[in-house]
Amino acid sequence: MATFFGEVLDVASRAFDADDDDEDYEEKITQASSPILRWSPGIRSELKQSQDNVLNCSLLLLAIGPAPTGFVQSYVLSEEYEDIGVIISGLTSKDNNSFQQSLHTDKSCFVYRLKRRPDIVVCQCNARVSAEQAFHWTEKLFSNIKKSCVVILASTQSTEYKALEQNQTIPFMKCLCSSVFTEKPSCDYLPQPNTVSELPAAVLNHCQVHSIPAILYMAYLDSVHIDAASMKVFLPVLDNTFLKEVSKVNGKAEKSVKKLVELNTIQNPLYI
Amino acid sequence: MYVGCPNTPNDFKGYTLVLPAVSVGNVGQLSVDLLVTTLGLVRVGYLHSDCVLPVCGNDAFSVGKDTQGSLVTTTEVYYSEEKKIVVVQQRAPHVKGKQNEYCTSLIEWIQSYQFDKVILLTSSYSHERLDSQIQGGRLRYLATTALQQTCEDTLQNELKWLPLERRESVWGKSVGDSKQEDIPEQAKDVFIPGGGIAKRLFVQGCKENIPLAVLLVFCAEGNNVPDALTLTSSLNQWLNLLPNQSAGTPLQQWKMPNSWNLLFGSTYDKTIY
Repeated sequence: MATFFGEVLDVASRAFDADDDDEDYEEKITQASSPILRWSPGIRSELKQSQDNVLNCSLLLLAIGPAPTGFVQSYVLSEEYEDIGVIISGLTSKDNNSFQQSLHTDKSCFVYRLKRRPDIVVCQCNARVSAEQAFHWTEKLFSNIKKSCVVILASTQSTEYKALEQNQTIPFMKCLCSSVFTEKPSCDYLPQPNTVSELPAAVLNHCQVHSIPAILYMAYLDSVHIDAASMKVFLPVLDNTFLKEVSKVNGKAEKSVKKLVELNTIQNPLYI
Repeated sequence: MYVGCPNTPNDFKGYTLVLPAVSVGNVGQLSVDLLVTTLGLVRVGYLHSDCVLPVCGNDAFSVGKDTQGSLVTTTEVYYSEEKKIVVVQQRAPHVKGKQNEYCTSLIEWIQSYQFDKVILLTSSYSHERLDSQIQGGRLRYLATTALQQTCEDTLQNELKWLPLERRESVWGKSVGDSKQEDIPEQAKDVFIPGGGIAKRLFVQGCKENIPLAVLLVFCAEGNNVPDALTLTSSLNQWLNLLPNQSAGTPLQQWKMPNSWNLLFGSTYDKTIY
């Protein structure tokens, strides 16, 4: 396309990537690893004993991103829990994995189970799972968890939210649910034309296609770094039937939220 | 790949399948939106594949302002028993490097469900047109041999559509380029820049003898609603989907879904000025 000054620019299409025509590309597909799921030895023996290699799970709570994982850590995982598994995806040969989600190259997502309620499984996904890996990541997670209710917590920037009138108080929360989910959601539905992509969408799509009751709570935040308000926006989710008994009001939650915010601030010294 | 919704029909033998390609201006996908909304097609299943990036949202085809919370996923299949048509809507691009795999899975699904004919809706960069293509209609078509046997007369003589002009590569064939020899005669020198998987699917369709047609309009990125209306109206001329074709302009004939609101994003915050 020629511009006003005569130079010729490459025209880019929002729909179509010219690279996709390159047939050699298929051989150069990313060298990053596909998702790997490892259960703890205790879980592996439980699975062997079960009928269809399936965990006894009535609720799967999946938190994706710093604010949701911070919320779950403060309000749900405040009591005793056990590590039962890990999913690692997207590792390349140059990555170091700390297994504590403290390195920026950490690619592991941990799976926990509450000791008091072993039928509630919590997956904390603080490492970014790419959109290309999201499908297989989801298939791995659901390979041993079937037909339970699924609650997904995720967050994104408030600038992604499209509406005629921008009169929402930020942060706010919207939800999407699969067609077999019958409970009343804790917030309004996400209106058209907004969409959700990447891992939260992959998990919800899996649940929709396989008729699993699932709900996704998407928080729209205005802060890049986590703060108390970003985590507390998820509080209405605790009214969910399954989570009501689990999350008793505890003083530890406030402390935990404060600690997470401080930790995050230390890692980002730009404005001190 | 295909997962049917519970309690829905699973036999589409003899139906026409309409698919979009993710192409310049998203014209094929906009066109499918118009078809599903206007004809009131019902969701019958999903194409659950790792070759397409994940996306989901609410109420893509609802009418009115209330949000009903009915989820839509990445690639869904809609149908109408009355019109004998099955329509696929794809809402996200392919995963890089997985287009061939997607085309292969699609062909297998088409063969196993025995569709009568398959129509791929796509678009092509208007700035890549030959001089001869700049004037006249912007619609072109391609048909595999299997489809030409039944529909060539309708397309060329009745509808008077123009077949897509072939384009030989200006650089000639490179030495040892064995891939060119694999391509059937019918699919040689097909050039659809910006057309997404159209060329790949057409080549595979020729190899597997699928009755496939590719319908495209030349367009550029921008407000592609008029291009979608052109493409859908042309498709309607062939398939006779609307009850009364002569009534009104394309804009009046086709209903636009709620998902087309704010097509170019939210309005800006006026308080910043």
